[in-house]
Amino acid sequence: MVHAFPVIKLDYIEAYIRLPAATRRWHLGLAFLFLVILVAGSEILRRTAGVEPAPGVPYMSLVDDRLEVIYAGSSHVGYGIDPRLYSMNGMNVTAGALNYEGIEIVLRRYLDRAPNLKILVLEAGIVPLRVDTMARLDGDYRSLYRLGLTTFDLPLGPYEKVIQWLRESRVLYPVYFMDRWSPSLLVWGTRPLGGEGEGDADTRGFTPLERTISTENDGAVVVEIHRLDHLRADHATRNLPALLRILDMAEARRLPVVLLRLPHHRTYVENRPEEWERQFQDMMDHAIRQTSPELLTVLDWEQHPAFLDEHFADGDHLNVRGVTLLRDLLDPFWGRLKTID
Amino acid sequence: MLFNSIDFVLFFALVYGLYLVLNHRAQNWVLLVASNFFYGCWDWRFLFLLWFTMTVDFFCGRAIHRTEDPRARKRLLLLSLVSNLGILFFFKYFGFFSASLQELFRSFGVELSWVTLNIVLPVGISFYTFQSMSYTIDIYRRQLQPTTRFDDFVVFVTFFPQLVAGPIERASHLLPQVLRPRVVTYSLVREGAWLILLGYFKKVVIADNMAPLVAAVFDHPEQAHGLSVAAAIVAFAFQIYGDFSGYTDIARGTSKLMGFDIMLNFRMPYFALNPQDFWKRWHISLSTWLRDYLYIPLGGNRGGPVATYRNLSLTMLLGGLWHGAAWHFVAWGAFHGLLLIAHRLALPVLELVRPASAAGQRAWWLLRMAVFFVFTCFGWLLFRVDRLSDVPLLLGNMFQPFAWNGKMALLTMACLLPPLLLVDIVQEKSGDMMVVKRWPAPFRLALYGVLFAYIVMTGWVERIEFIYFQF
Repeated sequence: MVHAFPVIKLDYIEAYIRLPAATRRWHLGLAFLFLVILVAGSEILRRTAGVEPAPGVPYMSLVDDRLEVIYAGSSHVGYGIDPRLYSMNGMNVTAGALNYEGIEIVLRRYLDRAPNLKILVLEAGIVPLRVDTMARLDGDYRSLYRLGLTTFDLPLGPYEKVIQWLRESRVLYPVYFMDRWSPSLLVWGTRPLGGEGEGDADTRGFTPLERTISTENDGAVVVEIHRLDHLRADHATRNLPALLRILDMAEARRLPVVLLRLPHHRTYVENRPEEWERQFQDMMDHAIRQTSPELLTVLDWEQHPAFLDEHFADGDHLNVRGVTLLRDLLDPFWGRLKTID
Repeated sequence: MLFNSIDFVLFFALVYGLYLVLNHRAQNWVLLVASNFFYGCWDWRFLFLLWFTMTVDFFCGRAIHRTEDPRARKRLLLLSLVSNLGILFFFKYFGFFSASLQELFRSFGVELSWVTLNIVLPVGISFYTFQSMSYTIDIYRRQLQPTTRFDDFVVFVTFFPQLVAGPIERASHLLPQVLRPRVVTYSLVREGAWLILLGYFKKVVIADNMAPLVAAVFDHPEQAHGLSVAAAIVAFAFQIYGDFSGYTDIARGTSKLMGFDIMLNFRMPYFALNPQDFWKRWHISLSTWLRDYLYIPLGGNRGGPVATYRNLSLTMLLGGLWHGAAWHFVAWGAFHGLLLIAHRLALPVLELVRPASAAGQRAWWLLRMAVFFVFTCFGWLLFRVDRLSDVPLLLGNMFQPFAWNGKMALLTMACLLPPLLLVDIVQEKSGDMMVVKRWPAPFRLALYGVLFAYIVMTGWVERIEFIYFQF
């Protein structure tokens, strides 16, 4: 029996087949034209932007049996710690707005490759605790790939991973991520690989900041940016467990961990919401409770008196003078921690 | 889910694939589910609000139609209007009016302290509220028969191509298309594909390339000066045109692919010769909505010049406020109201000075268009600033100190605008929005290729949201 009103109908497919052959050839020609433009345009963009180095390779080459210290955290570590100045062989594992969830993923890849690691320095801060790195990076995860991650390592759902994989396909990657052929680029600014100020393998992930703090970028301004910058309490529900898992991972390896709270300018501390500080202290309580005391060192240098206005690039980042001063204070600790094992 | 994202391309491919092989009733169900999913991608919690609005309007519409008692009809209409406008007011304007009242009292030395709510604006609320509201009003006016099917009404309100940024459809136009089986003709597919290509070009090439030039000036008005200010204002004129009409083109294009015809929202607005002409070309669905549901009920031009001017001013003020809860939008509306009044007053003089010769007429046409474009740009200055105090600041900075800067903005416009201007000019000259469809194949092929190459090489994919989503 033929149903009077079939749910499925193939009329349009049949109608298309009935179109004159010349029309269908025209459609094929159009599709071919678009494909050629897409492929050629993508290739031109790729060549004019310079060849992208294989992401992560330079960084992963630093992770071997010579590595003694890893400094992991957000931009505060990237700008604040120059591993080349320290007495032990170290590298930064940092990206702008990198949270504990991201740090954990990177460390899982790194720790097995660095059997002689002696110290893990983790940023103790409100940014890695409250930020949603993935939302903050908004689809451009080059700063994470730089650290050796791949699309499938990212904390994304299966659908998002597929979409991201499509965006990063050979043809679409230049269209999505490379600089456009537009004069507006000179206003908008180019997007260097790995994001602005991320450092590279040559500098072991350090980016020097020469500038000093001003009213344009003091703590009040930075707090406001952090408020807008996906710094939300509910993200801590994912980041705190990630931090605790990192501590577990280190403990299993008998690896000493330093939870380092980097210096912040007083204007940052004055303008910071109390809730942030409460949540930070709660995180520290959890960390201290969970980890063996002989393996955990907490250095809360947020308001260290040695750091003056001249040491800050803005409300929460050190400049090159601050970096040197931090080295002077921090490096002596390494000698003591090394004796643990 | 942005139109300019892979997510939308996949979403539409899936929906369209299903749509084409299903019968009419199943197509409507696909549209219902797809539209709600599309809206829920922003914030699923606001689906409850959307469904509340639709439920109230659907049942009010039916009840209004059933009763002949004028008082009951009025009460039911009032219920629909109050619930629609109440929700709109609460989500969009409560914070604004509350802050403005506090500010006003503070200027008299009185400190008011009440609860200030940090309310998130549901995306597209102004668009779907107006669309849904027109349904009950039209039934009240006996211009429309209510639909008996709630699912079809939901498709009418939530139809995903135009749900979040219009065009604001009328039930009398869109609802019958939902109710009756649609036929996807080859001609509709051609038109739809062309509109989608043009829309993406307008959005990712024009609007998104203008955005940084505009932001560089408007985000730091105290630092901007000289020609760069004027260039940024002109760039914004093209940014907002590219952004909004680009969205509309994609919305109309995807609708045509599914056999729907949704209304034209833009008709080469910068060729307008006067404010009246402009509002027949810019955001046509809003201007006609305001005309039919506000200006005419207020009395229109039936009560003599003073009443007409009052009605025009009120309509445009509310039109400005519709865009956003901020004083600069109100000022933009007021400015356009003043322009409409000034133009009415100046009409006899304009008729007197109109040249008689053909060459003179052409020059006169060009002059009027250029002069009105300057007025339009001044309006965009009011529209784009973050606060009204930036307007005198930017205007002052334009001349004090004057500098020949802003070359990058001018260069960007010179590089990117020609294809858009070409399309607009041929459409304007022919009076046919689909004139390109009738071009010889090689010319069409060249145009399609150029637009697509611009998109690939210069378009900012997934970089910037559509401006009108915030309204």
